[in-house]
Amino acid sequence: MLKLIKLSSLICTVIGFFIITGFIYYDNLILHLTIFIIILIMHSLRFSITESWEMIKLLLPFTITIFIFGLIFQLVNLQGRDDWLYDSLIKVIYFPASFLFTKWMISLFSYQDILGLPLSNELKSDIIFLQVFIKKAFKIMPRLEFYTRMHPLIQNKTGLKRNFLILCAFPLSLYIYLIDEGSIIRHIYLNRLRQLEEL
Amino acid sequence: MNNLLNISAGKLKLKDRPFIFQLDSALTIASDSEKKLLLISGDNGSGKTTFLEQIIIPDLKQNKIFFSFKGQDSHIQNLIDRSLKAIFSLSQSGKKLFSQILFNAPISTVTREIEIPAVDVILMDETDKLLSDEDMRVIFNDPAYQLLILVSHNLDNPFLQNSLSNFKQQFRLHIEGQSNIRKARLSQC
Repeated sequence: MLKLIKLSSLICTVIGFFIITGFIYYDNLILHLTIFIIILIMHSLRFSITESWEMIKLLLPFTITIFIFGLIFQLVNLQGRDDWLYDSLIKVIYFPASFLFTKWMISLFSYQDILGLPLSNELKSDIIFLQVFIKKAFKIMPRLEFYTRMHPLIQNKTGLKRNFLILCAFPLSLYIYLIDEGSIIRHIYLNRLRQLEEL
Repeated sequence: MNNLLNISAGKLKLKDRPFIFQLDSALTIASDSEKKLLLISGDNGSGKTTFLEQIIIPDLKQNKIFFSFKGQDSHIQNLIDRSLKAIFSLSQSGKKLFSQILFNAPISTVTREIEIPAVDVILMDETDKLLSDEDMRVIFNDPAYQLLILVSHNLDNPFLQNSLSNFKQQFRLHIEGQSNIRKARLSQC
């Protein structure tokens, strides 16, 4: 029950955050900037400064694009509006802030918390499998990408063809791996379950 | 003349590793018609795979040399082979597949063996222990490539020693130490 309350509180906090920052005080640039700084500090305390910076870097292409579009719209005075730049500045701050905030909130609800929820045993076992899959996928991904790029059939392609082939081969290989691993894990799990039941 | 490998002597920095390599002399292997072998040896954990992946492979890429890498994670490489086989099978029968979808006809399974193009360099990271002598013989006798880079713990293996005559030029790189600076000593046989 406690876990359910925790989950509900976190969901309410996230919804509250988006209502306040995305609707009620959306036009307040100073507020957005303040919230962004607070979230950045909290995120860095929860994870690390390096990880916060990595997230900002990951979002940088999107935020730069938003800013450039805002600037262009401002310069051409699109739809007669003169607040494009101001609006794009809000979005440039709001986008990473909301992203970091959501990530921070999700991190507060652990895997153990999920298992503590009043769910059916079948659903819980699916969650356990999902977590194992995610862990396995993240573990294998760097090597899979490395070998995909090394493959002679991909090496001898250039430009778009090469990138397209990587984009096709990499996720497909990961999918095949997870399917293979999934059947093994499920088999082991059911076998152990049967043995425990017999005991 | 182009070089297959052109690695300068001196300190070689690495990514995400707590050590560096100190290469005692330049590792330069010319691209010509002669078949060459580079044997990489060293104790477990000395950094042989790291040398291969972080020093040799980037150099091959920089020199635009076409290579094939058979790493220790053969199960991962098999996955990529399987997915590429599936992709190329699909692309081969693309038109047929499209018409079958259009006319709601049953879709037949098409499989196509992927053909690996001839490469200039073959890199084998301890994969000799996974292959039979016959498989190794096929690789040693393959006339298509110019350089075989072999990381192995079985350099004294009689089969390997007997096969050395296949190669006109032989180099040996021995990596020593477990400290922050790993010494890589190059010799030509």
